[in-house]
Amino acid sequence: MNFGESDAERGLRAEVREVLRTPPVRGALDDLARAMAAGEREPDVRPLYRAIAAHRLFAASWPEEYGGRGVSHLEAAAVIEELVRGGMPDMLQVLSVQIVGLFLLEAGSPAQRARYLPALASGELFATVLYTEPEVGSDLASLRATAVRDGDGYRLSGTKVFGLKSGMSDIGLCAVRTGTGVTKYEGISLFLVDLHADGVTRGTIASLADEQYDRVELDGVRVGADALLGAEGEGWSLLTRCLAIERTGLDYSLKAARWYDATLSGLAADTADDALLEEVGRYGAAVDAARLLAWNSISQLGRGPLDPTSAAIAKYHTSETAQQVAYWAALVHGHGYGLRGLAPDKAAVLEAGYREGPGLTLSAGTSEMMLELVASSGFDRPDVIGGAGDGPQI
Amino acid sequence: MDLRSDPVLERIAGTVRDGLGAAGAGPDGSATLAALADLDGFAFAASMELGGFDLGLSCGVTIAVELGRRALPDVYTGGMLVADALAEAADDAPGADVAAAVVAGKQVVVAAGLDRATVGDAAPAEPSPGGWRLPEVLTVDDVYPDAAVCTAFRTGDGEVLLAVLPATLWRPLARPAFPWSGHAPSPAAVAPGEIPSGQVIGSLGAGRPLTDPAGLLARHRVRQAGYLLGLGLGAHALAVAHAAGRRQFDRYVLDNQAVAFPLAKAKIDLEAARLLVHRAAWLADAGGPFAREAAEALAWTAEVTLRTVRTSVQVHGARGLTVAAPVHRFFEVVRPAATRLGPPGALWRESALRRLAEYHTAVAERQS
Repeated sequence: MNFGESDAERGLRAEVREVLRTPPVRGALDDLARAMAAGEREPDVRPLYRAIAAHRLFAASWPEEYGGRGVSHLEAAAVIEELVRGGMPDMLQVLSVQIVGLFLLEAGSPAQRARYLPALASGELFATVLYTEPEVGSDLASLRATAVRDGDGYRLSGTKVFGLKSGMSDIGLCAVRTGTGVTKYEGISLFLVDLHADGVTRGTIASLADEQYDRVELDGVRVGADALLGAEGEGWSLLTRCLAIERTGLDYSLKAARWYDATLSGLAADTADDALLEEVGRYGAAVDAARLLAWNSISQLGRGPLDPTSAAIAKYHTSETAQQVAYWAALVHGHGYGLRGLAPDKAAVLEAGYREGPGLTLSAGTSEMMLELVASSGFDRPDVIGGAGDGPQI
Repeated sequence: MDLRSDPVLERIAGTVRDGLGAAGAGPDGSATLAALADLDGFAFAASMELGGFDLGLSCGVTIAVELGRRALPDVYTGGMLVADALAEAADDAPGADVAAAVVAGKQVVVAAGLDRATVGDAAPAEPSPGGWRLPEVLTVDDVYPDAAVCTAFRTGDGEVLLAVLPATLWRPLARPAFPWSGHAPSPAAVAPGEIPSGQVIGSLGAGRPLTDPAGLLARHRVRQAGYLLGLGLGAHALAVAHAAGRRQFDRYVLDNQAVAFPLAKAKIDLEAARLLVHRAAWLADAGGPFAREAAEALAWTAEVTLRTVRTSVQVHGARGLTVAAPVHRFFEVVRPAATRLGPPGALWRESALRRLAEYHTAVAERQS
């Protein structure tokens, strides 16, 4: 284990900080700040993303031919950490690059990679996922949207809900049913859908958080055979891999750290009582542990598929911690976050965090599903140092 | 940051695990001492000056984890505190003979007084002509018949000193707290009487938090966290094995979410503990600051392990409360282990002071 930074990570972090100071990026960050201060809940982040992507930092782990730098997953994580700490909202980047893009890298055909990855890395295109549906919830294999053969292509129909950023995205990674099998896990296929195509209707569902849920209607949307990802009817196993990639916990750990720091900004040691000090310590360690669990997951990415149990552990702890920190901040700083004289920008961060918190333990797999995953597969893991091993013989 | 496991430490863990597996675990720790000594286990993390291999605190943590995993008596961490304090001492320095015997696997040392002296509420020792006289009795784990005691005590000017007391300089006052069991090391009160000044081997500094100039306290905290982590992992493994094999209501107990989910949550908390503990050890070995990380690793692991042991006993049902079920020993051992270096609440408050100072310093530096 190496808890320090490699020279490459240190160099990339320094470069990111430089990039964040360049006029195009600085200007885009300032525009975002102004929009949010004016009450805009979900300002357009794409100009900022494109300014960053111009430095090939948006998808740094991707091969150079696809617009990346070919750095390791660990080095790419360092880039993302530094960008988020510098003020970059990460949701659309997570969806576009860390989920759909990585999935394309792992499972896409050479033609699909060549077509989409450079455009995603440069910010020319953005992508989101279209998984769940009304009444489906977490039980994705119960999905009802369909793709039926239409000449040399398919027509997709159905309703997808509770996605994010569809309004700013150009393509959607869409799970639909192309057939049936002995179990409901058979007959599911994945397609890349052009969200500007005829038959696609994008709307939002009013929700608590600043980032609104989407409702995407697919009404006989025509796609070519080249939109199919992997083999027809075998999307479930690909989907399982894709879901694990979503669960490194890096994005949640960054939220936890941001909200914890905002909470601390209004506290001083000489005015905090013993009970509050204990919470400062306990939540601080939980936030640190969140980062370590996320990096533990990312450390595995470089040596093959992400272990689903490690991913579930990371996802559970990081999302639960971020949520708990947001709730704790509301108690510590009181009504309107005004109890201890918090700066307005920090109060705004915590206000948004409180409303975002509940979604964290639902998205990318609920906390209950993570516990189920750990319970069903994690207990028999012959772990490394500190792991369960074979149990004590006493 | 690359958190893939270190293969060298994995091999050491496996070797220690196998060696200890063959040891009969008695309450006095004799078998554990012999097994660890056979492996040269006391030398792995000790300095070369003391005849050790200097493999670092990460290695020391690995050994502590394996002791805890089987709820074996802690014959290790107290001795390593002495070895740390005298890592570079001359052969004729006070306590150097004890340190050498520890590294050779011939001397058990139990730590005492760190729960009070390190969190700021211990009454100061009275100066005496030959050294100091402690105002109160100490509590140690009665793990070995001829153990030496490494005790911390606060002086009148607020400094916390470490002294090593051979078995001839202290005596037990109380009987074991769990006389019905006989399966676990039990706390015993000891009266050290006079602490000769010649037995002082180091300083933990002064102030709140303690300055701990040589990092002795922080290193001891990390090893203690490792021992606790092992206790949590061991109890958890027993609970999983029991629940996976026991049938009730025509299904395995582990198939009930009400049973499986608390165990899954414990698994997640223990994984976080594993990373926090190894991070603190890694920082120590890398020569960086690690005082806050050490305090947090210990506080986190103490709380998580206490909860995990409670859950593990519950999963065993009534049989978990009997001496026939191995999990009972974890229940006994975890209580003194969780607070031996101070209650977690005090550690969290110390951590908070450090965090708030770090945060506001960083903000001030950015603004300037």
